[in-house]
Amino acid sequence: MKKKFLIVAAFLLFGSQAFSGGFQVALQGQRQIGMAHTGTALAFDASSVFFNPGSLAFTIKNNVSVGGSLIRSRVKYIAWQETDAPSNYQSETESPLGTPFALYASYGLKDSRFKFGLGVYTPYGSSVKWPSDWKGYSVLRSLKLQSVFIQPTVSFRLSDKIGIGAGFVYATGGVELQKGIGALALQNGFSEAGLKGSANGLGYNIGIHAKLSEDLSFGLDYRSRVDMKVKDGEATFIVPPSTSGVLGLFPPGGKTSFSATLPLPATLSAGLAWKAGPKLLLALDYNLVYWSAYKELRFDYGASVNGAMSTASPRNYKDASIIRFGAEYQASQKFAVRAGYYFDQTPVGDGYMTPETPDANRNCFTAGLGYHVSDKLSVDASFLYVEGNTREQSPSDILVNAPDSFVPGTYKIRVFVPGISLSYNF
Amino acid sequence: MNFKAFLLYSLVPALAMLSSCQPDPVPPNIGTDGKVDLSNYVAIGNSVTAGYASGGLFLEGQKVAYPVLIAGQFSLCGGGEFNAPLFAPEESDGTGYLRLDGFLDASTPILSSVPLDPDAVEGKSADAYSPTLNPDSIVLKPYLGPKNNNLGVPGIKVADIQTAGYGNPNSFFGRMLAKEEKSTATYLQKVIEQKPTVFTCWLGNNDVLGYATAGGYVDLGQITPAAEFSKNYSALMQGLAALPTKPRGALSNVGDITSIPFFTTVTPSVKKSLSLMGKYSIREFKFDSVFQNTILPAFLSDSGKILDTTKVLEWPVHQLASLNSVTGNFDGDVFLTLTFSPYASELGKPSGKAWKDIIHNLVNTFTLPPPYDVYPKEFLEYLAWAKSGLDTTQAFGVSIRNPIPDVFVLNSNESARARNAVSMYNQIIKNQADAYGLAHVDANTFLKNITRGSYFDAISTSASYLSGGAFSLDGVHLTPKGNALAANEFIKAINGKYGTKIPVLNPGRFKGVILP
Repeated sequence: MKKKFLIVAAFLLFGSQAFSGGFQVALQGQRQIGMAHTGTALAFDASSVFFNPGSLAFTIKNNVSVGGSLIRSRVKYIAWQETDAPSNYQSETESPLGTPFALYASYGLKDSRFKFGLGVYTPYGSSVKWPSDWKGYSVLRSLKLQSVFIQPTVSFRLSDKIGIGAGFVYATGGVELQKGIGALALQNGFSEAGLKGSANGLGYNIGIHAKLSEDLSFGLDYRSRVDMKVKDGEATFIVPPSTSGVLGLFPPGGKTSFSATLPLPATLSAGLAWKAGPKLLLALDYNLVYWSAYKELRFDYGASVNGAMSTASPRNYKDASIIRFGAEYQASQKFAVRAGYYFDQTPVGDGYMTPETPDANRNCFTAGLGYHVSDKLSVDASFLYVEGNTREQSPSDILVNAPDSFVPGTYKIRVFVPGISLSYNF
Repeated sequence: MNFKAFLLYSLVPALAMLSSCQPDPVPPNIGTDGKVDLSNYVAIGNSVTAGYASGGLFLEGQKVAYPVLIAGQFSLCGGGEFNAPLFAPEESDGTGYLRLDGFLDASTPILSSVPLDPDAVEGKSADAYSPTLNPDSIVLKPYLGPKNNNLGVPGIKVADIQTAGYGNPNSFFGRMLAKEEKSTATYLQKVIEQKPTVFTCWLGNNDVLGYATAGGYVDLGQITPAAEFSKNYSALMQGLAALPTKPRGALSNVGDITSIPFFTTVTPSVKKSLSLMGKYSIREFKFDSVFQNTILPAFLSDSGKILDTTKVLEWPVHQLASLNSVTGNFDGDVFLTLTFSPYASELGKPSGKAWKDIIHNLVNTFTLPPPYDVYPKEFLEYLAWAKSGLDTTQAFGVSIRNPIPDVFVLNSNESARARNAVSMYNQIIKNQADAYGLAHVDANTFLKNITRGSYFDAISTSASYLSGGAFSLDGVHLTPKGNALAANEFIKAINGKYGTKIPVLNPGRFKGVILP
């Protein structure tokens, strides 16, 4: 059973749905997810490669863990209402299953103050798919952002109380976007623009872990911004032949290249972990995500598209905070139960809510279970429920300079994420 | 502990959390709350109301006429049955229409005509006529379906609505009538007979449009005097108000001529090409009454023969307007019609294309053999001019011997006259709406907004010919998307006036012009 699951998890590629602020994916360790995705001050296992490389040196054993989650998310849309123009229009995203994963390994010689680690994880991603004929099809039909971070890491225990660590991040991923072109009807439906490209970028992750006392730990971690660059993407336009021919509105054959840069913002995390009792562990994390790096979504084309060499749509995200409270209770020798809550502030300002990220402040609830199969093997499962606030995008909020990036109306997002991981100590 | 139990323990607390969460947003309640009786909706209007598009009335266009779309929304709020006088499936091409086949170059579309559907016509006499040029001369088969709610009659003016027997000259009206009514019924009578409980009325465009689209060429269309307009319009409103059904409704005003691509497409490109050539004025060949009554008879015999060629230079060739070399604008409101687009590229070059086509069209329209004296006067005038005055080796549109035919030009006097008429009509319509407590649709502003280029609610429109989205191939009538936008204007006006909650349509799912 477990073996089978591993194989399945390996084959299901990532591709997760936007469900944390912006397009951040907070699903990097099952044990931590159960505790509201706290972890900056925790030193559980090799997953500290992500949460805080400084903690890694305090993990006791060498460890390999692999885990994944299944994201089902849904965005509900209601058309904008005016007193004299009520609308009974509503729509809902189709829910492609997102499958982010995380794989960690750590190794250190016994009694060595060094610990080496490797993480392969998916901290950013988004997959939104609206019905192809929904009201905002000219703004977006579907978007898939994917990223996989590969992070070799070294951690060093300065003393019994302080550990530091640093990891180098190589990120690889891709973007895939489809939008309709309502101004260009086809005999059957409407024209469509599609962008597809692979991207990569570099970054780092550094952290420090301090044992303030026997029961209290503190962690501080900084994950750098990673600029994901698409160099030679493929832009495809399904348009009336005359527009890519004699009219010259679109590149010949409806194809050209494009480039783009998508900034994956830096995150500063600070955390406290407190052993409140022999069986109770409490954790508190604060994340500051530097979303203000995301100013606009810009595509530069290899040939003129509808009279322009590029398109840009403003995003002007704002830095956003997340506060997390998590608890773990060791119910028995073999079982642990976990619960958590976090508040996830949206980086999206009023007037900038797009169908690609119909974002709002979110209340997130988590629960988890841990089971020690043996001394060496443990299984962790988690469940995350995200409830976004209902949020309106009013026409008057919509920016005068780029109204074609937005669809006025009311949005609400809701996400369910079960997840599971296996962890092996040696 | 097995895997199932694992999941179960994870799910239970999460499900408990759910109960405390906000519900999904839901659309608001819709309906009329008894404020307007939607059981019998009747649409009053002209070609736009009928679903005329791309130069013709045909089944596909009729199905997306704005009244049909409004009725669809009414039906969500307890509205009654709504039937439009659709062409039968076997006569679906109706009067024929324009089709976009391709482009010669980036600015020159290739249009062709889908011919008049022979199955739509009663008798063979109409075969020779081009319905798009001369809708009066075809006789369409009668509409035999259920009670007709869409009284949109292409070509009808407010001036026509009390004309007994109007079904004879206008077969679009005639096909809605029983045979015995054709020579007696007025349009107004037919409206009242329908006893609407709710109606929309968008009349008045043709009272000025015919004049404007013919470039102010008076024989092809005259402007209805405001007094006559007012008299007929009031009679219609009086008749409706006197009905026991006490109908509610919405009156729409008339769009300004500058808001339709028929006038806004060619003019800017002509300005541009002229200034590129360093030419700053264009000339129009203009028939006026002095010419017709005094100059022409002096050198034209009854049989159309030219008697005095020395009079040629007295012919009415006017400098239209001068183009300001700095601003790139004409010094007056001069508009070139969409029908001029095939000739725009000939400007400033020796060319006889426009004149040749004019004569050719006239010959086709009036398929009478000689003697010439039975030809309409304007034909003789063109012919006489073409034979003696015209010199197609001169620069077209610029030279005094090769001016632009006046059917293609609305000069500043003519455009002022058209605009003046529009504003008088619109005042009358507004007064009537106020007097009878009816909703008022400001189509004039609505069309201007479309033309200016707007993007709202994920739908974009502009006045660009073909790609603008709202106007069909004839540059005057609406596309399905334009009809949806218009339908929403009526619905908004009704909601605003009567406090109903009739939902608007999502125009984004309707199409504009389909490019090949």
